[in-house]
Amino acid sequence: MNTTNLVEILLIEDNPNDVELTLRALRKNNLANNIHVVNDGAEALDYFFATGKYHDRDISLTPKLVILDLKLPKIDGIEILRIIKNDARTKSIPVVVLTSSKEESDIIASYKMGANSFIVKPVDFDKFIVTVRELGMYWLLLNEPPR
Amino acid sequence: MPIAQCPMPIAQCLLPKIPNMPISQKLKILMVEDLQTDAELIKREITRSGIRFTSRIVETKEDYLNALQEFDPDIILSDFSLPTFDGMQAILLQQELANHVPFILVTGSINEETAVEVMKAGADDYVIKEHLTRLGAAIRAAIQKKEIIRLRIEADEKLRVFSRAIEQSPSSIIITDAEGKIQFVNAKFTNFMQYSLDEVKGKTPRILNPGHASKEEFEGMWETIKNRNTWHGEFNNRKKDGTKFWENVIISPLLFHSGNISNFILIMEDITEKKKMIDDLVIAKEKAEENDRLKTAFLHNISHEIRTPMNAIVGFCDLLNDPELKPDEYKHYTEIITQSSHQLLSIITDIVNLSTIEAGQERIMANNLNVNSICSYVYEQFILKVEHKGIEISYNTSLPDNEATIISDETKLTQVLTNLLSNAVKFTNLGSIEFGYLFKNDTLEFYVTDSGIGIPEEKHDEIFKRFYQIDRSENRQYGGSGLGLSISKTYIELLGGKIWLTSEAGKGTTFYFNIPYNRQ
Repeated sequence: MNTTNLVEILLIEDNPNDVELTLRALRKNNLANNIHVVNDGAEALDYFFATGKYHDRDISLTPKLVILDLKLPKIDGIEILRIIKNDARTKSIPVVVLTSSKEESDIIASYKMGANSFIVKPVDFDKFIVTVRELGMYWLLLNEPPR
Repeated sequence: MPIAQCPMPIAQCLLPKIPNMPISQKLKILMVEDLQTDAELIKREITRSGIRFTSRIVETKEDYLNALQEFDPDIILSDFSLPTFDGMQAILLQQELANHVPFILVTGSINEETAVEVMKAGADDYVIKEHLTRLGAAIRAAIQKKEIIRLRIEADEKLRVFSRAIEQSPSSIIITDAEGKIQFVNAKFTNFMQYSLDEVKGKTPRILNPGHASKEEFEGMWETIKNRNTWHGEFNNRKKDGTKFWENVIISPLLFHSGNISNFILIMEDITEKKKMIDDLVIAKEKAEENDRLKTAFLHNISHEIRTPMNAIVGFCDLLNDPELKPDEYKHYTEIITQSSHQLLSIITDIVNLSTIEAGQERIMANNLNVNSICSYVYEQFILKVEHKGIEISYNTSLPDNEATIISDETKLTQVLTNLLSNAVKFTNLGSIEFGYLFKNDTLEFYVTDSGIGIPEEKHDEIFKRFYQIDRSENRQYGGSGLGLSISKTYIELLGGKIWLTSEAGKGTTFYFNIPYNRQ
């Protein structure tokens, strides 16, 4: 149960293939020990605000970074972004938006809602690392290098 | 005066103006007289009475006729007896050819009977040569009388034109009194509205509009016209038989010379057709915009649906290059790539089918086919797919093989059954799927029943729309274009049948479709 309290990266993504690709790439780049995956928008909100199945999570322990897919079941990514960027408890968490298209309206809407960066699938990890570095978080997220 | 230039109210224009005597212009006097001396006497008398004139003297019928034409006299003074002509002939010719010209008989003493005859024939007066002093006054009176008659005829003619214009106007016209009570309606009104004048006389035009226009609208209109302004507007009015129609209405006050309102005139034009045309255009425009939105949404969706498996293919192919990959990972990734490729292929097939449908180029390829064979073929396809899911699948046919041959499109029928079964498999995690057909009223009614998650009643129509998926989270792991049901519906309709469903959330769904039982 405690593991969810130590989350460093929260990955909000419904497609199992994309989850697998993203996780693999993160690990390959030694990023983050503790990645938590949620599969839809409703679960993501439960996670952020410690409700529903996450009711006993410590709400003060926020993830260091959120990777957010825009096309999500139940509550879509733009709406998640709007909610967390308008809540004092979550607004400071950096959000990297992940989407399958370069649909311009999505990009504009995401930035308006306060997204910190935007990555088009399939995940370009060079760009991801640049982003994380720019956010000043690379070393925070980087694992111990393998011996 | 042309009506258009008439500065005064019509009624005043029409009143004849009585000419002021003495006559100011130079009169053209035609004298029928054979005696030079008498002619001189007459002229002298006229001059003495203060009338300025020019004259022509004739004494034969031929000259008289010519003079009527060429000289165009203002008045004729005729002697009674001449050598080859006489006063009676002169008055008869005047009546025939120039009855607007005053005619005075100027003669020596004649018997009263003759004088009466000439007067009866149309002469305006007669003056005895022995009493010529009366001549000036007689000329003045005759001219004045003719002028009044002429003006009256002119005014009557104007009135007739005005009244014809209103009566025969192609627009409906109502004239009310100053209180707005109907006094007159024209023929167009009675024909079109089906009310006779008697039925509407004394009522207000509001009876034509029972309860459509608001009280405020009527008050605003009344305020406008009471202040001597013209009101324009549209009313959804009703004919006597209840037919509703749209009318463009112009209401103008008619004013007395004093400026007070004498009447109101309402000119109305049926604009139902015009309004319908505008409405149709608006609908067409909205439809075009809606189609545009749908097309954009379609492209957006299809782009997403294609990218999802494509991303998996690209992403996992990339991973295959990793030299540290373990054999089980390798196998897992190639499975994902294969599955995503199939998914992509089926989406592309759906898009191609849909664009063929959209282009209106989808055709039925009718052939002999055996529905029992199709059921058996589809069953074979699906038994393999559902085995590992723990789903049971079975099928029923209700006709013997030799009666199960019909004329229809085998490819489309197979595709629809496959689509429905794919959906059934997708949404059933445990339980059973049954399909088959029943022979009913000369149609074959196919069914596909599953024990899956079910479809809420309110979604039963929507699911046949493109890209519809009830809950994407349930569906995502299987993918799919969201086009299958939309395509199936089109195909079944092309085959002459229809598609529908019954469902209970949580218990399962049955899709039905029927096609005609056409044998050769």
